[in-house]
Amino acid sequence: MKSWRGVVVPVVAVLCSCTVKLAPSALQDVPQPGEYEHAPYVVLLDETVARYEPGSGDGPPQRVETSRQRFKILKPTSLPPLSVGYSRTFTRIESVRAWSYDANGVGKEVDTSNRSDYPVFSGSVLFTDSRALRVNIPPQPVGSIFETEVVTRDLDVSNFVTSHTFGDTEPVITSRLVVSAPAAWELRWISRKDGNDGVAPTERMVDGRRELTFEMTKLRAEHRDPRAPPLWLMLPTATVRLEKWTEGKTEKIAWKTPDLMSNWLSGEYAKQSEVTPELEQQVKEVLRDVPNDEEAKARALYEYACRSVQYCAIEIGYGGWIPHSAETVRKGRYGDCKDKATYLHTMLKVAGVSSAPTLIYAHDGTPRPFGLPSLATNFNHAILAVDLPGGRTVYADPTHRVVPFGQLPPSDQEATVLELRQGGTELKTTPASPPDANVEHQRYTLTLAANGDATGSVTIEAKGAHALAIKNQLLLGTGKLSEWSKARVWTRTTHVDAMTPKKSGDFVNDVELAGQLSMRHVLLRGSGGDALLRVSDLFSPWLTVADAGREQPMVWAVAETLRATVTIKLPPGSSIGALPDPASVDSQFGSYSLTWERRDDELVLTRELIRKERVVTRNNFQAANSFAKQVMKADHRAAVLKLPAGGAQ
Amino acid sequence: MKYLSLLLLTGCATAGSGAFVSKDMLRIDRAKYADDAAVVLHRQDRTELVLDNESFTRMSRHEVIAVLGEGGLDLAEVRVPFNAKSKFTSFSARIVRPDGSEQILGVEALLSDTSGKGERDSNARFFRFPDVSVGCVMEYLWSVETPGLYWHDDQDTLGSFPVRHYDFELTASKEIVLETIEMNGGAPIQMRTGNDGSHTLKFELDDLPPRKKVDSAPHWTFTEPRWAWRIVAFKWRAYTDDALRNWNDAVNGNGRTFFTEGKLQEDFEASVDAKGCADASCLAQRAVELVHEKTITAGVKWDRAENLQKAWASGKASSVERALMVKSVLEGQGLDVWLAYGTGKLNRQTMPSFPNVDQFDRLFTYLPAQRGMKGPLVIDVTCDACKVGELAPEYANTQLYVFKTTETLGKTKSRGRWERAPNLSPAGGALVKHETRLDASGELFDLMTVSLRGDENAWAVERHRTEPHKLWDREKARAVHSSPLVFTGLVEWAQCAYPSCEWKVENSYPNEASRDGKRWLVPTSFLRNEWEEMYLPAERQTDIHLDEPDHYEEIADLKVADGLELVTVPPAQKLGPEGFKVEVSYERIPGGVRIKRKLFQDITELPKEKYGELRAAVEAFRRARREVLVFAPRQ
Repeated sequence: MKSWRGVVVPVVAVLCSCTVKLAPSALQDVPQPGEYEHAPYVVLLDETVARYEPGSGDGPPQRVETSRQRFKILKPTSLPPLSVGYSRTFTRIESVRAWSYDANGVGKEVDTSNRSDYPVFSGSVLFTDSRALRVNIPPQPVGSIFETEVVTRDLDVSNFVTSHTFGDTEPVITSRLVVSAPAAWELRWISRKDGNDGVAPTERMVDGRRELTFEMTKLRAEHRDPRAPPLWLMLPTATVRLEKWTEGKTEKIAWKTPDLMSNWLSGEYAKQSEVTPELEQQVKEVLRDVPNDEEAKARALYEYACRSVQYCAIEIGYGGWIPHSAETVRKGRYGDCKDKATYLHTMLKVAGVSSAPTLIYAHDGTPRPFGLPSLATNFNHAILAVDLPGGRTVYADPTHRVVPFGQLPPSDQEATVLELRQGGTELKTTPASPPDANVEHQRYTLTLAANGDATGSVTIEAKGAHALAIKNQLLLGTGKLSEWSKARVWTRTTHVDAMTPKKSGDFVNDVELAGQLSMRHVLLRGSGGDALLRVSDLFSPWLTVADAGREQPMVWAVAETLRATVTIKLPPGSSIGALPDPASVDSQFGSYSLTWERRDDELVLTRELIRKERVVTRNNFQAANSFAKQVMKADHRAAVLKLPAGGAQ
Repeated sequence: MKYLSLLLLTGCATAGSGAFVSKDMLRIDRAKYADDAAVVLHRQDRTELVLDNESFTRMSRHEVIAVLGEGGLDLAEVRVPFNAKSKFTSFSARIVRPDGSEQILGVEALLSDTSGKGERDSNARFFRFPDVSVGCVMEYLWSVETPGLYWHDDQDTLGSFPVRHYDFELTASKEIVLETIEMNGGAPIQMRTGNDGSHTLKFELDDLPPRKKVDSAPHWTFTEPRWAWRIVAFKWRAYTDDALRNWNDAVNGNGRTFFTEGKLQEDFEASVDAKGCADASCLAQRAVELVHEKTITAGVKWDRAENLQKAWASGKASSVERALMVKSVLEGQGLDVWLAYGTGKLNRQTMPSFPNVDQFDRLFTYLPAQRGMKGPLVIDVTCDACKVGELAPEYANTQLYVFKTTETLGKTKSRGRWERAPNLSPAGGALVKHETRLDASGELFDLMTVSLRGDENAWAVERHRTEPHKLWDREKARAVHSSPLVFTGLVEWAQCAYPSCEWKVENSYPNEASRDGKRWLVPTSFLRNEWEEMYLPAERQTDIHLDEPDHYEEIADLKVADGLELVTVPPAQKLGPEGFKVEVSYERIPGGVRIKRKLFQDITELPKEKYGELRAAVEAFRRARREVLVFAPRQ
């Protein structure tokens, strides 16, 4: 799936060499150097003005969008290049201009002809009709004001929205969205902030047009804290679309509800799901030895689609939202998410298993709420809802290579989905996975040297979400497995000498790796042989403490269970002194336990964290921090050992 | 290294696309690539320089890739970006499947984006092999023609997959005089003359292993066999027109940009007051201080070449702009001012015998010996910590190309020479002092003072001037213990400017010390987190390249409760290979112990044979942060 933004050549290059002056109103509330200690510049104005207009002839409505940004330079800085991404199919760039003003608002237009226009490459997309136009911003004096203006014309806006995000990584003085349409047309809007209602617009009639204005002022600089949702998801937004309009003399109405969008798209997907003799033959071959059971058939075809079709996106025009045909995918053995979902959907149809292509927003832990029904804003991914006997629906994501049938990757869990079925469906939510579904257990068997270093073995047993990365890595070959494992093991200062798979398979739920490692500084060791062993020195932490003043939630991908067992064989002549008491901490966020045990010349410690809540919001920071600090205190208690004297080096 | 010079005599280049490789070349020794997801069986890059009324450069690629695992499937995607003025002239591809069947694909399989039309615009062709699975062999050939002649090129890295055979072929019209160079032990460059008088140079490599990630690995240009070429001249009968014959030709292009076409100095009027200055060195120092005061370089590409006045007013300048600013200011004082190009010692491998400015990464201002000077003076104005005559450590004692560009009747002419830069850098390093106290509960309180000096201070000073919060975030991450239980607070900025930056940090570590009967076991893990997580493997296959010299010294005075004394003083240590010294020592002081550790790295290169010594020294340094000091009641 692709996001909407557009534009195209020819670009009108109009350069006025005359002196220009900012309106006095634009100079009100302009901060001076020193006012914002941390900001190299402030955004005086971040404005999107969108005008919906009738298309040519009986064509679809168009939108002329003017994006204007005005910066006040407070410290030596390099402004980011002016970059305009656009679709060759949908958008035309009408003009790109910039002005530089002195502190009094007197200035000149800047030459923007030194621009480059190039295809946009992306790691996951082979080919789109997206390009970008880029203009480098020349150095601007401290104290000056710099302004850019980009005017674009979108040629088909009936299925898309106009949206605006309020705020930036630098302070914004005024952020504004202005949308207008002929008075006879209808506009629909939604505005959100932190999942709640955002800014309400003011409405007025101007020259026979209805105009909505959303405005926020004095917005602070926003920075993303560690483990926080993406900034764009946290900032206030306003989204507007055409609800009712005319094309020629025909009145048109946008999808009012998600089910209408579901119905329309299901028709488009159905056209791409034609069964061909080759597809029938393919299904026959795949199901040759599979029992005549709907779930077994669905599983076999799902695994086949995951294995045999490589991800490769080619998206041109509406190809961003409408898949290639199943037969095209079969022939090429490649496709993007919606291509793969359509391919699997068609094969299931051949096998007599009902299913529905399903739109979803794949996320990094923070699902995106549904906004207005439209093509480009709500979803970025496609999966499949498979209907099994007994009224059971299983979501399957054939884009992911190694997820077992019946499970979803973390990015698809707890997400709003729209199943594309004839007649339409309401929005639904995909299930979450509990902590015992995502488990990783690392077992270390170490032989400690007198100097505090150790060598030994490790096994990594993982299931659910934790198994996915391992299985994906194994698909890449074993050549870099040891190097990759260095970041996977939880112990510090560890070199993984070798790592091999012990139990694996594309779609198994449980995997196991086994390897050899060498570790330095397993413990703190005095020259006289006195030694302290602390979990906090041995392992990187499993929990995070929210810093004072933090407001953004802390997010983990999944609820999970992490378990470590470490057996340390002590060098001859060693003794174990005091061991910390066992620790057990329980809270709504998780449960933690840590035990120490002496067994002859071995020391065994076991550590487990069950993360029950994968999102901690601001209201819960105090309680979550209390839990984390108790865990960290337990991790920091030292076992006292005596190692042979003289072996420190 | 070797190079050869050719005079190409007759004829015209021919098209570069060729046939698919023979089936024999598709055979693979699977055992040899057991751990690899793909192997490049054959890669041929060709460049043809065709000189005629409509001269053009044709670049071709022919690649054969065997997919050995799913990690190689992404190589089925082929993207060919090219300038909007270029023409995509040929394409063919085939895929040989595991059962031996073969599918030929032509231009109809390509997707195109050719809507870019402007001088600076790019277009691209895209292609995806169909029906690819593990065991397939993919082969493709394409060529692109660009109007005009490329004047030079050099080899890019061959990437992370093993390569069984690579060759590069350069063909040029007879009038073009070429020079090539081959580096890092590849096969010698072969030469042949075609019937049409064109000359072809060929460079071949076999069995290149995949590149592995290693700490402090040399830049790939130091280790991977590679080629470079350039056009030395064009020769028409008795007339020869030099292109990139020598270094003066190479730098002249940039000189033209600086002084003629770019008009970079237009409107730039900065000056220094010469009052009280007895010599050129004094004037130079004032010019440098002025540029340092008015501009910073953070976030600006080193070779940006904007109008100097605009850069000056913005407060940000590149290395090039700063050097030109100093030049302009000193010329305003009537001095003869030159420029000099250099490359950081280990930033990339340089080719002093092969004129090409792409290998440089810094511009210096240079004062030749003249009235009032004892000798020439190199000015590294990019280095904020440097006084006149000093260079950033990575440029000290390197070869610089010193040149002067003059303009006559709109034409620029450059002249210059190689000179070795002085081996003089500002004293640098970090000194960290701790005043540490253990209380009766086992909690440690530590007041840490961090002082940075010299070039190591540059980052801190720039951030302090522009984004102090970012400096603090970084220092907090570097300074503290890993546990968030540790309270950390910035106590004060003592100062942050040249020559040093200093600040104080207060940390408290609850339950840091453990009681063992009447004894207290106190770990030294409150020392700073430096040189950790490096050099973990016991052995190493590559030489060690360290960015720049490092002088780090840490002194901690740890005081304990009255009545306790250190039971045993750990032994001192002093070790390391030549140029890399580590010292660790402990001594009793009234009420506690003084811990000293230092790591003085004065070298930037170390052969792999010395890795064991380096690792042992770093290990001793790190181990000082893992000592357990035992305190017991005084007897």
